[in-house]
Parts: sequence; structure tokens; C-alpha cells
Amino acid sequence: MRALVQYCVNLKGLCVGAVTQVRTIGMVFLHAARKRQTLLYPEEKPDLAPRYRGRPVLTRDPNGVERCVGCGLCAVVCPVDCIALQQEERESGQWFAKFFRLNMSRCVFCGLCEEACPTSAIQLTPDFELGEYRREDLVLEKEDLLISGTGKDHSYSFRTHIGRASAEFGAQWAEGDDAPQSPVDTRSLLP
Amino acid sequence: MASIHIDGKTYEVDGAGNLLEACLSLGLDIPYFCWHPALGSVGSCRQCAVKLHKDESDKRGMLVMACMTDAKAALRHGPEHKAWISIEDEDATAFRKQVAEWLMANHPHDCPVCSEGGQCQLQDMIMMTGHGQRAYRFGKRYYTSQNLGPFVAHEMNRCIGCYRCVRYYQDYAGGTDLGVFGSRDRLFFGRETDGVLESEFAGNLTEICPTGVFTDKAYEGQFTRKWDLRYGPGICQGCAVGCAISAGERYGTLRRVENRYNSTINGYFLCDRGRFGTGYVNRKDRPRKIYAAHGSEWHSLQERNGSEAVLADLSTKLAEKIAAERVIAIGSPRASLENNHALERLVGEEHFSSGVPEEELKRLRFMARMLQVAPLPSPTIEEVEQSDAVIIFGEDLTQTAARMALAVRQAARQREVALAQERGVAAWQARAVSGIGQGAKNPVMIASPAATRLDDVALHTAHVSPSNLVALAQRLAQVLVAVGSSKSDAAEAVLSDLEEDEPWVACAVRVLLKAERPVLISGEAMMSLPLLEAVAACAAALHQQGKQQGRLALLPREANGMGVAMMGRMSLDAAWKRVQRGEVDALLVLENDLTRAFSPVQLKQGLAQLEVCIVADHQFTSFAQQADLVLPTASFAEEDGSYVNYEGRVQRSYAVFDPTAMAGEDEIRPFYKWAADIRARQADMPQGCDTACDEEALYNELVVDHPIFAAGRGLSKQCYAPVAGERLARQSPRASGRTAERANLSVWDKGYHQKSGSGLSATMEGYSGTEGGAVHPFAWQPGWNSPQAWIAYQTTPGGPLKGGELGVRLFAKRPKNVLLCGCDEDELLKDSLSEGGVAGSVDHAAFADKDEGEGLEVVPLYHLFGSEELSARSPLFAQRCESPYVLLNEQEAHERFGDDLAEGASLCLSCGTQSLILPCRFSETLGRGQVGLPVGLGGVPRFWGRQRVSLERVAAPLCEEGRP
Ligand code: SF4
Ligand code: SF4
Ligand code: SF4
Ligand code: SF4
Ligand code: FES
Repeated sequence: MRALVQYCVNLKGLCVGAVTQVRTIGMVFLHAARKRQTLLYPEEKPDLAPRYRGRPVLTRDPNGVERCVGCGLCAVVCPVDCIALQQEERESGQWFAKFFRLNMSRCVFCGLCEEACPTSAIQLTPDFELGEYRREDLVLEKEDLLISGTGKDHSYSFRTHIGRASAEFGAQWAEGDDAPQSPVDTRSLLP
Repeated sequence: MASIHIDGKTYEVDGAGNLLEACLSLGLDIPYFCWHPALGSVGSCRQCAVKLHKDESDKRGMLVMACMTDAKAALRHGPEHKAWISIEDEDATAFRKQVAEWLMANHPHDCPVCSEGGQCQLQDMIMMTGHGQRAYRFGKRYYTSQNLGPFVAHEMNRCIGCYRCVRYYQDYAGGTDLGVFGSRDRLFFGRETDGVLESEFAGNLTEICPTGVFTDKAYEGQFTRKWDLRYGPGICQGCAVGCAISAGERYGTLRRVENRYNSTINGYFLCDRGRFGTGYVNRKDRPRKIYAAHGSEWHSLQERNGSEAVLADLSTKLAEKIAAERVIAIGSPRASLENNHALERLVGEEHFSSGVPEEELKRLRFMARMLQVAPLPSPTIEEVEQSDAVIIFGEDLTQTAARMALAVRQAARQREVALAQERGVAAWQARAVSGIGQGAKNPVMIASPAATRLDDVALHTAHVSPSNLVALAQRLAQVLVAVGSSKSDAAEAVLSDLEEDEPWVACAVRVLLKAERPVLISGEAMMSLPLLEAVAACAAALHQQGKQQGRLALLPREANGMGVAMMGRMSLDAAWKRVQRGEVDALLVLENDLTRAFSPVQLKQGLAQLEVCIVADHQFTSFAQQADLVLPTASFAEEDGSYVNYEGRVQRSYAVFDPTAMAGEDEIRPFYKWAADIRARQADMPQGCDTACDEEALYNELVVDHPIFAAGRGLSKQCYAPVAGERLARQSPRASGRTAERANLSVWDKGYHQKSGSGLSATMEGYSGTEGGAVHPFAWQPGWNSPQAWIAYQTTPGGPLKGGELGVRLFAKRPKNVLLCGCDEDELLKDSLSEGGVAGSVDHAAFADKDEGEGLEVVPLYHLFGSEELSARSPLFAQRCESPYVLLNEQEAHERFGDDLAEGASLCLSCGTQSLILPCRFSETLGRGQVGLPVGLGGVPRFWGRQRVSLERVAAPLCEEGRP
């Protein structure tokens, strides 16, 4: 009895197997007639979402000023340590990056720098065409990284929100509706 | 010992200090702002709240400020010397979070552009409290910040009103120009108007302020986050105190100097010379390659290809000259022991000079001798702070050994603490202490030629000429002996007799007899051996009075002056005489600017006799510019080296960075490596000295020739990681950019050069905990990024390091009967002690303005910014260095040159064939018959100090130095 049951089970398996095989072969042939998914790169370019993580760039704020303040947060978060930069303070008291170097031959496109950046300066773009003939050319300096637009973030301007900018931007940095319009009168002793 | 229950765990505590200190030293985190180990508690920020329970069953408890709760009282609060407190209690946590929120209400959105970020106590504490979202939706107030000079930046918007800055600046450092203005939420911490902060210790504000209000401006042009700096545990080169510093590098330049905590010397504070005066390391015009002057016959670099050939040439020729005994090598009191010794070995000891002028060397030797045999030992800075009377002879301490001046201020303030303790109030109760003390001060007595920056804490100042200063000190010793040996009534009679004619002496004697731990301080400032002897005699007299707790501090001028004096070779003058006599063909000078020691004429005479003059230095000094060949050596930031400070403590300073790592073609190397290379060539040995140049091996070689330094062997044991096979990390675990920092030079990653045999790792790989020895490259612990992290390294907050004392005192063991150890100084001290009673020897003539010889006596003056050679080369100091001047007694100036002589008019000082034309300034304190001259400042050579000069008025506007 047991042997008979075993025999039927095996037979069923065999039939199902044979049918799926045939079905699979059929589907493969069907796909041959479908529209192609791959592109004939480089003649054809892919359509990538703006949030695709490719080449990092440095952007400008809506006023056209470099957004990067050289804080170093992107560098410290980068898992492969491929960002090196130096801050500088200009006349206005605003900080800028004196140099900003990104070693693209090391970048793993994790996007952590973009996430850490408090100013929306560094952003990853859908540009993935990074091939170079010389490895040296993969070392990008600030001139290579800086674009003239705002990137994905169209409105934020960190520079106007900092306390250091209070002289320049007055109440704007202080954010609230009833933001004070003038600096504290430190000579006043009124309660 | 008592037990304390914190959040259900039991700890053993000794009940000293307050609850906050107790918890922090147990390694428990409580956020705080207004408390600081060096400033005590005032309970103003309300951040350190914890719950105190009556006993186990008390569930309600009460909120207390941990920093204001005496640990003993807390223990008494519960039964059987047990205390139950809770840090994690809900109420306490909520309270702390709320306090944090309200402190942050007006705080700007600045962290990314704040140079405190990454080492900010506010960031740390806010993380600790867990406050993350601001509920306050309204506008923030804002301030107009001030320009406080070249060292300290001011950004008032970031203030949280903890008051630590004013408590430090006014109470601790005695500054008067920084205060708090305004009322309620308009408090403003700054100066009355914009302007340079006057205190010489203003730089400490950058570490005292828990936020980014006061930050390091020197650092601002080259700011690097703390997590990115490569630190080296260094020793400050500014003066003979030898404070410990953490110097940080990034991209091949020295970026920042921070205080490196240790309890015996600098504690939490540095002076501004040490903190801001290292810019010379980064100078563009430093010699970076072997540099040969044109037209030198010995070798001309132009025709050879590169330094290899020059070095080969140098080695052979030098060997010839050494064999012919026609070489002189001059060491330096600003170079390390190892470098001086390498030079000495290269040429042989009979041809090596310590590089210190004859007279100064005598004084240094006397100081070194005193460390071994003086009746009283030399105090650590901590001991000065704890003393109850200080007498200073001739030094303007704030300008010559600033950290000690800060300690003297603390000594004066100790009176308040003592008064409070008499009433059972602990020293950490800062407000209560000052309320009880009412500004009472321990006596500080100063005898100096002119006003000093410590006069404001002085009980009694005497302004006397340098020669009378000697008489004054001798007199003090005499009177001490006489009074000590007579009965108390008789002594009193003698003193009241003296009161009228010699009030300073009488006062000093009273002070000394009353004090338990008096400290006598003198040093190199007055360039007078008799003064040092007289002060030592005072110490002997004190010893005779049973004041074994007394201390005697004698201060050399330079970082390693004591060290080269102990090496005991010929003086600079002796060496130069040989050069001038033409006994020498080759001169080798190590890190020593001879133009500061000799007149141009003397120099010229000597140089004319030479075939070749080789200078090894890390600066293009005026002397290096006259050399035929310059070897680029490493500064303190690029080499390991040992230095001996004023108390005979050998300390090791470690390299911060490898100067060739970023700029490959530089040839900067420590001098001991140059020397090893030259020797290797001479001996036909394989070159290079990476193993032979291990810091401990070098030191051991030094000890072979100079056993006096033996106690310093094994100093590298203070610098080790307590984990087998690990080294101490010199970067934080978050250092960034290692695959990009050199990528512009070469895209191929190159590991940072790890020196063999060292206990330090050049990178973040390694141990960064709190155990190990006394040397820690920087302070960082998880959750503690600010300098407050030092608490984790201390046995108790503000106490000794877990790893023990830094450095080793060479003469920690002193002979029992110090006065009878069979040396020359014995006789001297015995003589001064045996001189007759007071009555017989009152010699008022000693104090009359003696008219010895022609002309006016030059009194050397000093400036913290400018008098020291290296720091004066820091670009940043240009804004704080004064230009040279002559100081005159105002009345005398008018008498001599007419009433129309105004400040700034040019005067010509002449002495023999030398002359100097400088603008004049007037002083009310400088006595007649003297002119004050800031030696060292602006390159005024030191030989002018203590000369007799004539003075005339000239029309010429400014000086050309050393007109023949
Ligand atoms: S994407 Fe990732 S790997 Fe690339 S630079 Fe940013 S943090 Fe570094
Ligand atoms: S890119 Fe952003 S995170 Fe990086 S330094 Fe600039 S501002 Fe800071
Ligand atoms: S003081 Fe601290 S918390 Fe405030 S902006 Fe600066 S780094 Fe941030
Ligand atoms: S300036 Fe700094 S130290 Fe002074 S009160 Fe404000 S936060 Fe505290
Ligand atoms: S630290 Fe305790 S109240 Fe400020």
C-alpha cells in the first residue's frame, strides 16, 4: 500500500515538473517577442529618478551663493573617508569651503554626505557617467563639483538662518513671527 | 568610606566634594554648565538636578542641584551614612530636559559654522539631556558681538549665561576688562567697548566657555574640527615652566594648541604665549630644504645635484675638521636634550658649547645646583597655588613665566578659602567662599625695578634698582636669621625698628614667619647671580626657621635652559672667543640665533675667521641668513624631545606630524637624524636611523654621557596603551578624509608613516581610553567631546591624572642635610646665615641710590608677547608685540632732557661702540639712574641687559640697530 502511494506521488511530481518545464520554455519564447528592457547605452540614455544616487555635486542657494559652509559633516560621515575640505571665513563672517576635494575613485554613492549636510549643499545627482582614463582625473576639486543651480532643494538658504548672520540678515535669522528687529540693548537695566 | 546608592546601584565614595563631583568621578554622566573643576560651584544654571531620597522607602524624594549638594550632607541625609540618589528619576530627567530647552530657546542655528562644534560642551550636554525639539516658536534675540583682539573671537548669540567666563576672567585670572552687562535676558558677557582683552590668560576663555561664544581666533583662519586633528602631546616652548599642551595638525600644518591637563603643572590653564605663539611652525619662509648660500667656497649647491651630494661633502669635510680639532659646535637652550646631545656627540664634548652666554650659564648652573642642594625644594605650579605667602624678587612673572603668575594669583586667593574652611564651608562653594573671604588675600610681596602685572594682588611692592634688589634680598636673609634666633619680644622690637626705614623687609619677615608654606620666587630676569644667591640665602634662612614646607623657585629663561646647563659644557662666550681667535675653521650652530647674544661687530669678527658656518635651525633667523649652509631641522611639532623645566622635571614632548607627509619634497628632519646621518657616513655605516632614533634609545645615549639625567630614563613608559599590541591613538575615532587628503598629490593612498618603537599611533587606530600612563594626546570620551572630557582621566575632578604625574623630577630625592653636602654653595649659604645680628648690620647705605660708575643702569624688561624669540616669529603675535622702547623715570627724563621731552621722542643709548636709537616712554615706578630696556623685544640683543649706558636725545626718528 505504502509503495503504491509513494509511486502515485512520484508520478504526480513528474507530471507537474514536466508541465512547468514546458511552461517556462514557452514563457522564454514569449519574452523574445516582448519590448526590450535594456537600453542601447550609450546611444540611448536611461531616464533616472532625481533621487538616484550618482555623482555628488555642490549646489548654490536661491541667491546664487555657494551653499557649502565647510562644516565638515559630510567628510566625517563618509564611510570611505573620500571627502577632504578646509573651511575659511570671509570678510562677512560667513564660512565657505576654501577647498573641497572628493575622491570619486573611492565614493560608494551611499548618499550619507547628502543626508548629513545641514545646508543642502552636497547632493547626489543621477549622473552616473564617471569613467575616466586616468585615475587622477577622478579626484574632483570644488571647481569641478560646484554647479550653478540649487539642485533638488530649491528654497533653502542656511546662510540666512545662522546667528552669525544676524548683523547681515537682521530678524530673518531669528525665524519667529515676532522676531526682534534690532540687537539687544545691553546697556538697559529695565526689568 | 561611605556608600551611596545611585539608581539602585551601590558605590563606595569618600564623601569629599559635592554630589556632582562624586557622580562624575564614578563615571556617571550628569549634565552641568556653571560648575567647573577649577572654579567650583555656584548653582546658577540649574542643569545638574538629581533626586535625593531620604532612604530606600522614600519614593518621592526631592530635586537638588548636584553641584550644590555636599556629598557629606547627602550622606547624612540618609541613615547610617548611606545616601540614596537618583539621576535617572523621571522628575529629574524631565527637569534637566526642560532646563536645557530653556537655555536653548535663543540659541542660534549655528553648529555647522561654529568653531566650537565638535568640542562643544553645550552640544554634549544637550545630547545628554535628550532635548531634541524646540517648542519655543518665537523670534530669537540677537546681539552685536565684539572684536576682542587677535586671539579670542566673540559671538555673543551663542551664550547660555552660565557665568563661567566672568568667574574665570575676573576671579581666577584677575582680569578687569571683561564683565557682564545688562539685565534679565539681555545679559551680555564682554568688554565695555570693543578692544583687545588685556589679560595674558584670555585664551583660556576658549576652553572655559562651554559654548562657542569665546573661540580661538588664531584657529579661525585654519579651522579644523577636533575630530579631524592629529594631536601630539607636546611641551610648551614658551618659557621654563614647561606646560603640557595638545597640539593638533591637519594637512601638514599646525592648527591649534590646547591645554593638556595635568594636576602638578598647568592644570586647566595655559598662558596666551603658549596657546597662540606657535605660528612660527607654519611660516612659509622656514628652511625646508638644505640651503646653501651663494658664493661659498666650501661647496656650492648650484653645481652639485641636490642635498645628497652636499651631505656627503659635509660629512667628509666635517670629519676632517673634527680630526684636526678645528670645529666648534654651539647648542641651544631652546633645543631638546636629544638634539643638543646629538651635536655634542658629533663633534666631541670639548668642542661643544651649550649656546648660553657665560654669565647666564653661571646663573643656570647655580639654579641647577640649587635644585640638588638648596635648603628648600623647588615648587610645582600646584604647590605655588597652595602656598600661603609668596615673595617675588625681580621677576615680572606675568611676562617671564606667566603660568606661575596665574598660580601666584591663586595663592593669594587661597586666603578666602582658608577663611571659609575655618567656618566649615568647603572650597568648592565658590560664592560662599568669596562672601566669607571678602577679597582677603594671602600676602604676595614683590620687589622689582618697576611695576609688574601682579602688583594688583601684592600686599607690598618695593621698586628698587637691580643692584639694590640684591641688597634687599640679602637684608631679608639677615633679618630672618637674626629675628629667628632672638626672643619674640626682641624680634618684635627689631621689626618695629625696621618698619620705618625698611618697611618692605620688615613686612616680608613678618609674612614669612607667619606663613606655613611660603614660596620664594626669582630667576633670570634681572640677569644677576648675586640676586639668586641672596634669594637662596633667604631660603636657607627660612629652612633654619623650621619652614621645611617652604619652597624656592628659580626660573631660567628658556624652555630647556636648565637642561643645557646640566649638560655642563663650555659657554657661548668661551666658544666664540675660540672662533674669534681663529682656532676654528668650521662652526656648527644648532637652533640658536647668535645675533641675539652678540653685537654685530663681535659676530663679524668671528665669522670672518671661519671657513664655513653651518646653521641647523627650523627658522631663518638673522643668524641663519649669514650662514653658508642651513640644515632644515624640525620644530617641536615635528620631533620628539625631552626638556627640563625650572623644577628639574624632564618632560617629553612628542611630534605632532611628519612634515614630509603632505609635501613630499621637504627635507625637514629632527637634528638628531641629520647628525646620525652624518655620523653614519663618516663611519661608513648604513645610513638612516629609524631604529637608532627611537626616542628612548636617544635618551639612554644621553644618560651614558650625562648621568645627571638618569632619573628620566623610561619616560616613554608614561606614554603607552594599556592593551597589548596597541598604541595610543593620536586622532579621534572619527577622523575623516584619509582617502582624499593627499589625493591631489597622489591618488594612490599612502598610509601615514608610523614611527617604530613609539607608544603613539599617528592615526585613529589605537587606544583612546582613559587608562594607561600620564600622557594622553587629547581628551575625548564617548559623549564628552569638549575639554571637560578630562574629568574621565582624573582620579577626582580637578585632581591628579589616573596615569600619575607627567614627567620625572630629576632631583626628587634630596640629601637629608642639604646644607652640609660639601659643595661651594654650602659655603655661600652658611656665610649668609652666619652674618651677625641685625642691630650690628643695619646698612642703610645699601639702599641709597648707589652711584657706581658712569651712566645709567640698564634694567631688562620683558613682554609676554615679543620677548621670547620663537613665539615672536608667529605672524599672529605681530598684532600684540610692542616695538622696542626705552623706559625712563619721568622726572629724571625731564630733568635731563628738558620739560619738552614727550613720550615717543627718540633717545640714543650708547655703550662703548654700540648704540641704539629708540623712542622713550616714561614710568612712575622705575627709579632714577636706570633705563628700562625690553631685551629680546624686536631683536634687541640681550647683552644690553645690565650694561651701563649713556643716553642722549637725538632727532632721528627710529632706530637702526647697532650702528657701529
Ligand atoms: S556618497 Fe557616500 S561614499 Fe560618496 S562621498 Fe558621499 S558619503 Fe562618501
Ligand atoms: S557639503 Fe554640506 S556637510 Fe559638507 S562641508 Fe559643505 S555644508 Fe558641510
Ligand atoms: S555653541 Fe555649540 S551648540 Fe551652539 S552653535 Fe556652537 S557648536 Fe552648536
Ligand atoms: S559667554 Fe560662555 S562662559 Fe560666559 S556666560 Fe556665556 S556661555 Fe557661559
Ligand atoms: S552645574 Fe549645577 S547648577 Fe550649574
